[in-house]
Amino acid sequence: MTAGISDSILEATDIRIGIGGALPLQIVRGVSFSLMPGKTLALVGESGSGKSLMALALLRLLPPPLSILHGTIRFGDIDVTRLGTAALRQLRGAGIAMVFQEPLSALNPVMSIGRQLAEAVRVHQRLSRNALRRRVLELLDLVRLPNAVRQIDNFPHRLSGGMRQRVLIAMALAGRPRVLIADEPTTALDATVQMEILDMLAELQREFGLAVLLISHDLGLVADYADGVAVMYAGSIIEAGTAAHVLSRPAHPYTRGLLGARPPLRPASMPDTGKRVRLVEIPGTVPEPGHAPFGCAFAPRCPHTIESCREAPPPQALIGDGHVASCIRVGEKA
Amino acid sequence: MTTNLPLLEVKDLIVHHRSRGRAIEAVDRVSFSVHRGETVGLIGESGSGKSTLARTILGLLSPVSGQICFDGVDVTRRRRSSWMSPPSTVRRRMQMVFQDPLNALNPRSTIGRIIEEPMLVHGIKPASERRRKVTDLLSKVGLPSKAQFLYPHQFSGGQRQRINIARALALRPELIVCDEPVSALDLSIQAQVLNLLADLQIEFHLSYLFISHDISVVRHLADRVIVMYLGRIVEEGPVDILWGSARHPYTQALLATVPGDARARKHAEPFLCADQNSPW
Repeated sequence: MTAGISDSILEATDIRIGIGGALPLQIVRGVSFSLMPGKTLALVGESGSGKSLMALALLRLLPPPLSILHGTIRFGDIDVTRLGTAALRQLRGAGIAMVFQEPLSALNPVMSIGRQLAEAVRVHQRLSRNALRRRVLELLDLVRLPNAVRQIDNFPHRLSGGMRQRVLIAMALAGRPRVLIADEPTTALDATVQMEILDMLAELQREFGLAVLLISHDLGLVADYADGVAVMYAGSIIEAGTAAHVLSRPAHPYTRGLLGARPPLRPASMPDTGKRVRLVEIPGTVPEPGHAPFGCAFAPRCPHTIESCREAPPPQALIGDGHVASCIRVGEKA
Repeated sequence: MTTNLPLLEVKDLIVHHRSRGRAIEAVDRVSFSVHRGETVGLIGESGSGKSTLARTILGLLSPVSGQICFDGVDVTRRRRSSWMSPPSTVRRRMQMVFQDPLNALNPRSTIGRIIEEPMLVHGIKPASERRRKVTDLLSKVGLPSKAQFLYPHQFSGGQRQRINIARALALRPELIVCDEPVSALDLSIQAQVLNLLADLQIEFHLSYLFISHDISVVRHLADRVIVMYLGRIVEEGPVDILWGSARHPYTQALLATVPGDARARKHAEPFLCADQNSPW
């Protein structure tokens, strides 16, 4: 992950997010990663792991009272954590753009999609009426919205979920960003639509050399669409590396548990005896945000916990070729 | 495992939704059956009619035509009141587990009360017997007995779904219709609930009609599968069809979307414009 720092377009270092003041509460506890142009990094975790907060922090959109307590976000030459309001407006959309999970609530219901897109373009570019319309149609073409000319005057409720998500992606691309954050972009969509949207995103990424931060809870999707993966648990990245390496040789017990909890992908794992394979359960539940136990946050649910797991936060152990895991027992297990 | 008479038999079922005077065929001539102890997986995307079908089977919606037989008895056009009347008491023998575990629970009732309610409605007496059953059901779904004094908001999503399952089990049903029971849950919790459903099926010899859009989940749990598209069954067969022997192009396209299975995707033709999948 940290290799080739000079090529990275965005680099987050030791980000801590929470509530400051007299009773401080840390929800994201020291997260670092970097994004490369043309590559996708998947940030994977269950609800409450802090992955969405991390995305909002990159755009400085954290809802109060949450704020970035510590760390730097380097984008090009600038540190996003230090930007003022005007510079942030420039950054959002033109530097870093975001696609949200729920396409209907992210669109204005009383404005045609053409006008909404035009608005997004105008923030970054002064164009004549005609040029603006051409640019809007060009964006809708990019995301392959069928019948773009006819759809332009339609309102969001007239579009299907997949089409709405296309419009949102078009809006995100309006400012020609270099980094695209996609927070569960297809969770609300049907399986066949999900695949179309992700394939399209991958194509756009190649075309524009976009760096994509894909936030997801779905490891299968990560296997298909991400180059790198970082697994979050209770506000920390507990394992990271190339998607191929982490998913085929997971080292952290949590990542292993997550992979085992998925229904199997091959019929071979279901023997003909008629006996169903039991899914691997991770006992217990995710700790509440800001209330991770001391030491290794996963220790209370981990089958390999020993005394020293609870004594100090586990350091990152290098497993090979940029693959790291925060577990003190990584070396001993098979 | 199965007797000759299916537990549930649906024949030529047609259900319409009305919208501004227009009738939309939500379920269009659907026939299938569920045998005792069997899990039938019902797959389809949003708008395919799978939830409408489930609600019609449970008597929450009325069909235009067709027949629903439960244990050999035609229950299609019986009145609301007769759902409850002995000796058939179909309502007792068919239960449902919903997708959103929080919305399905009354926020102002204690868990004990929630699980006890179906027994109250069906006149199970005395109170001490009901209370004993509540504790028993809680332990069956892996919750401590002190949970009965707490409220739904005090539980996590997975625990709430366990409470829903306990309530569905309260009347010792034979068929449970599960409408997307794990799609709102985190992955690690999903496995806990799927294992629980599998264990309970063996213990109580339950039949499941298991509705899901998630092929890998259905593939894991079901014995037989039904694939719905725009209100119709387009394919039906043993669960093996989901491991690659599916014939219908729609099923094949669905299979190609299972994430993490890029291998299957390369072989499938992207013939679908899935955005068209709307009955409206």
